[in-house]
Amino acid sequence: MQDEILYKQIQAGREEALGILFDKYFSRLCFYARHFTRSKELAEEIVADVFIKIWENRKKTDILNVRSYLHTSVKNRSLQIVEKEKIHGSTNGGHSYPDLKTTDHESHTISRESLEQVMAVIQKMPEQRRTVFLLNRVNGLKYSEISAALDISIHTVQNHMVSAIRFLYENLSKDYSSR
Amino acid sequence: MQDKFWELTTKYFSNEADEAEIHMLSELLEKNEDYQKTFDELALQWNMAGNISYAAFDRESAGLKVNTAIAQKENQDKGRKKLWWSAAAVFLCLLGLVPAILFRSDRWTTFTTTENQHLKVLLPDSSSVWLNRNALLAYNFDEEGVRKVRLKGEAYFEVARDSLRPFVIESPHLITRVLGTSFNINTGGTGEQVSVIEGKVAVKNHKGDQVLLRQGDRAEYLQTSGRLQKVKVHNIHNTIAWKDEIFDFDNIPMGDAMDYLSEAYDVSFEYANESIKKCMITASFEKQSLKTILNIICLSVHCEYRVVPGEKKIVISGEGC
Repeated sequence: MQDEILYKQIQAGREEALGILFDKYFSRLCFYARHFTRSKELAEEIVADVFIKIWENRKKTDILNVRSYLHTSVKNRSLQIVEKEKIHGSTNGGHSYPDLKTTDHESHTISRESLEQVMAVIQKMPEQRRTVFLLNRVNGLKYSEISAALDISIHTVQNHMVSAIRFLYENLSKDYSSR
Repeated sequence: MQDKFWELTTKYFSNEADEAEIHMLSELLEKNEDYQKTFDELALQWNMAGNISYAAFDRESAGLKVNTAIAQKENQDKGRKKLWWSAAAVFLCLLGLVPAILFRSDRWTTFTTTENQHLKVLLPDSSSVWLNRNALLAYNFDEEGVRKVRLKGEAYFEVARDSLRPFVIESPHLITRVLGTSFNINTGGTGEQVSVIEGKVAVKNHKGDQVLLRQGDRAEYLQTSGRLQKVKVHNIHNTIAWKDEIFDFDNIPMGDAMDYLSEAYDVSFEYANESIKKCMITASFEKQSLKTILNIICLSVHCEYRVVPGEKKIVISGEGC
């Protein structure tokens, strides 16, 4: 809802609205792009290009779902670049752990400590499960979108999500560990 | 624990559960206390994970690249832009009926209340909505498969059940999904609250934090922290006293009781002594004047009240508890 209001302002020519959208989505989209390109630098470049295109085409493009549109654009652009530069996604699994950080700067209602714990547990997940979980929880992608992006079935996506949620609970709940 | 529980819970949190699945989940939770406990704990963990972002990407230089590209583009366009605008202006003048054309695609029906007005709205699906003062309600039932409503201010809803067309309310910070029930939403002040009088309601914010409420639960959203949480409320029925002027205080602190009165009668209270707020009150009132209510309360907890002329303010003094 808020994103679509922001986009209306972008369409009206307000650059600061683009800035807000950029700040909100930059890291998530880079994480998404890096999955295809396996390169941090390429990912950053692709995301910047997508935002430039959004600005250039704002008058002729209506966007109903901004989050989904951004992810699709980043995916398409990534695949183009990968094809052009002939980067063959390094099959040797040289994919590093994503560095996670907190966006919770002002409020002190949750302890820093417990948030660190959540991040540590997420880091402990097997790579594909972690990617699926983060794409859903942090990027806000639907199962169907994750399935298309990672080239796995929706059923597999769901299984990963269930495992991830159980994993969180089993590693974080005091009840569970004391049983 | 049962696989079904984990599957439904996962689907619910990740926003993939349909109406039937949400029902099934809430029935599971109702029947089994362990499930409910696990679910509540998971909700905390899930909502916490919403504060995570990816580090290690260089936002500064990518942002600079975007800014530079846009600035260049804008300079190029400057000459052309002026012309385009004047052409557009002429075109719009010729059309005459601009607003009608622009807004036709937006099929929202809107109701508003003023500073001293309440309004009961009957929606086409036979749901009823009571608007408190200074509220705005809009609905759009044209889309298939969903009944869409927007709210600013405070309102009490009694929603007609229709499992094929969920009832979804968008307020400034929250999205409330109704499963056939009655509840109160208040978007005033520094946050928003959804209080469930009866039935079940699912609430989420724009960050994807989710809570599932049933009778006696309240979702609280604080604008300062952006956080959404579920709390149990004793005597939740008083939340809608602004609508029917029925108060039922069953052993609650005076401070809480006064908050309900302040909301219903649009006055503020000031306490000469903070410990008065801690006195416990048991009493019920139906359509009584504020004066009568205060007289009775002050008799039972030994306080006095004084109306500040012209300010809608009442000062309460006494020894306290």
